[in-house]
Amino acid sequence: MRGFYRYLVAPVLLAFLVAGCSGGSGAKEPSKPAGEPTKQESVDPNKPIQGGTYTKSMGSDPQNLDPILKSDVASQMVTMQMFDNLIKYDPVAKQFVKSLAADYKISDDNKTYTFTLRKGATFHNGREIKAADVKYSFERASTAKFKPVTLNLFDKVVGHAEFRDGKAPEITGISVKGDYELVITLREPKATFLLDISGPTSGIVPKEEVEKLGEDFGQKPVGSGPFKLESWTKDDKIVLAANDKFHSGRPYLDKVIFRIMKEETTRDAEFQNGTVDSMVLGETLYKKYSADSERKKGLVEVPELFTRAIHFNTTKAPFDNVKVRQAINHAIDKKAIVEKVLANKAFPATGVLPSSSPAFDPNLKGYEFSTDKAKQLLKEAGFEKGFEFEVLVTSTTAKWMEAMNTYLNPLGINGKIVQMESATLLERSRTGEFHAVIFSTGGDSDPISFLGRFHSRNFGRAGNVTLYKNAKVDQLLDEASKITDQAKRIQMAREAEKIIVEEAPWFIFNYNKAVLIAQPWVHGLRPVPTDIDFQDLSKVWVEPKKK
Amino acid sequence: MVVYIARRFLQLIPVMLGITLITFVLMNVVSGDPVMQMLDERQAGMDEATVTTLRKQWGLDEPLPVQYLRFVGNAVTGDLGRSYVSREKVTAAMMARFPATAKLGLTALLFGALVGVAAGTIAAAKRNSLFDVATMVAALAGISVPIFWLGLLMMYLFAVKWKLLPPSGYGDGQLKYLIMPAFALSAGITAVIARITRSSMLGVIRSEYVQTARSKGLSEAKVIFKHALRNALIPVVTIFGVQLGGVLSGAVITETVFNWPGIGRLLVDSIGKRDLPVVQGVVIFFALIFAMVNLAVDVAYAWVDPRIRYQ
Repeated sequence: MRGFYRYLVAPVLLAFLVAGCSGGSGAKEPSKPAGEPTKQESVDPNKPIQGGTYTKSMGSDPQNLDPILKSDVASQMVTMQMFDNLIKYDPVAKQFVKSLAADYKISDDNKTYTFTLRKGATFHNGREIKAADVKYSFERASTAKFKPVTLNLFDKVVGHAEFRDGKAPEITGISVKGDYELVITLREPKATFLLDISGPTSGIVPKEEVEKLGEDFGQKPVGSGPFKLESWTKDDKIVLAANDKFHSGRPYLDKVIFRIMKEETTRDAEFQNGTVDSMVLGETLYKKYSADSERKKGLVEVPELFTRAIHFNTTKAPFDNVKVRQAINHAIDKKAIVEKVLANKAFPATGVLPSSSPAFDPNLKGYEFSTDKAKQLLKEAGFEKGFEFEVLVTSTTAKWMEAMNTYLNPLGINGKIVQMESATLLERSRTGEFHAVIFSTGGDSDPISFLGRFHSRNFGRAGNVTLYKNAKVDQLLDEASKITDQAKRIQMAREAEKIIVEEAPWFIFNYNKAVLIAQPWVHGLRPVPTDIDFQDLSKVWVEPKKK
Repeated sequence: MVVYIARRFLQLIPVMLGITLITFVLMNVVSGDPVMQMLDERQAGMDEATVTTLRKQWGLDEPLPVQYLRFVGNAVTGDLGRSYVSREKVTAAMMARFPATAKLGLTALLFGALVGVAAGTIAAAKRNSLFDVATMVAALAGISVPIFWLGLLMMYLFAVKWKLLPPSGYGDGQLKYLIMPAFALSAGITAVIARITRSSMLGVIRSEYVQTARSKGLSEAKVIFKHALRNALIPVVTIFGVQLGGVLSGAVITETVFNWPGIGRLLVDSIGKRDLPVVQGVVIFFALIFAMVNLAVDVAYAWVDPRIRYQ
């Protein structure tokens, strides 16, 4: 037996030797990205380089890559690279860009849209895209048997309801005039129609591939975008390859790899290793990289189109009293909480519409932090001694509520934290089983759509979880939905927002500061307000890396 | 033995039915409409007409007993349905991930068994020696240290600081991606097997036939490995079986930390999304694995101890 020990000693000593010889001098080394370009390879940032691979980390696997089925951020990040639309909306420049449509015209009454398709644009399987493909794609998005996430995207198009309900074989308001012309006729003007057809659900798909693959189309999608699917290893990575035949020119990148990593620590390790080119930052990593003089050069920041709020159930006491809601808006110092708890990775909110919304009103001051005003309002409402209420939170938002309670408790108010997982929280919020609930909502470029969360026809699952009702707000939103004059819509949106802020169905907390960090060899990433992950990767390029 | 095995297979039928029924009931009791879960958290909502239509398309408007019986009827023909979330076939979703789980689990188990049995045997043979003490301390550490902590530490040292191994991922199946997650997963397994082996060996070493073998002049190695170890292995086989079932059903924490695309993560994600078809499919799969492993363990008993016979 003694001889046996010899065989254990060597590996143990070797392990100590390896540990002892590595680790450097102990002096702190400056942060240095692995794989950075050599000095002689420094490039002109205004001259994109063709080639290379861009690797992006993402926190979850896409659910499905079928444009009409996906609704999660991860799926959309990928489908927007693979599918093309008649027109695209650039949320940074805030303008529409023609894509599959070489041109389009809108009639004077805003009810007829005529699109002329590009000739020679092809799907990834090589077949040319025709007007009939667009009609098929839009009708498919309105067909219940495909189980799309929304059936009513084209609800204003003539004949949509009959087709959707199975009473007609086609949407009569979508007419194909030859191979390259498509005419869409609406029952009434819809201000967001161009946004609807530029959105991810309106991506154009090839009928023959959908019919061949059936429900598996979302696992092996075929589109016509700047990138096509090369491989998808579930819960590991998705690899996209450049579409050499993309109508607007081949993208700069040869490949895009989306690596799925649930844990932030894992993503950070990969980023520090240089094996991931960019990642979205949470509060902890934002603090770390903001303090790094080298790394902070790679930060891309934007106020996202999302507002975080405590949503009050306006039909349940004490939140059926507007003074109570206003009191809570005055009572909490949101600026201090954003600074200390969120590490400044947010913007204190004034109104419902985030600062990146086209209708954001810089003159709307919202509720100032004032304990005296809060006390006065509580006294007027008959809650001078305070009250307790249950607030539904997730593990992330629990700490926000703890911070808010430090301001509420001195007034006798306590938000009793009820923590639960996200799925249950959303279910309870959508069915009205709550007094107060904290979550983030938004994503709509169009301000009227954003404010749809306060329309009384959208109670519950349709989005108005606070069950807030105001006839004037309803009227403003209904009228604005039919107007295409952008300036007038913005004015009406601001008018509606002012009423909503005054009546405070939310404690409007903050607008998310979305932050992406990129390696120094990555170029072309932009501050996209709809979601910083929704990058147009056909415009992104990478410098060649040092071997 | 053949009759015994056949009987065990028949017993699986009521077990499977019971498991699917319990899973179905639990998933329907837990709140969360699967249709609404199709929406991203930050989206406004879905109008009631669309919710009704989608529920009908998915068959969710039918009474629960009808839904359950339809599932069982399809499952018998091998059709476990499609995921509400990804629309992928449940069997395809599981088969895409099971090889990764099996690779990780079996590697960790093999390492754990070899090192654990060896260490436990030697520790028992050299009771109260430095090696014995060191082994038991290491085993205690292996059982006590959380896998996520060990995994993150290894990731920091071996990937970020020393750049010897990739931090995470499956990497097209290359060995270097397997090393850290397998080692992290094997820590607890090795510790348990080492301790059980040592305890069992200590009991067997003192028995009369072992003393007889020594007195006949056999070498210590032969006494320990040929005569004592085989009898000491019965409880080890039991533990091995339990661990085998556990790792094949997915080491969720290890898979999450190291970004390993395994079946454990699939199950946890599906529960969170209220994806009932996937949850049911995976639970049935796990139940089958445990049943097969238990049967294999029982058969292994008969091989290890010829006194055991099944009828």
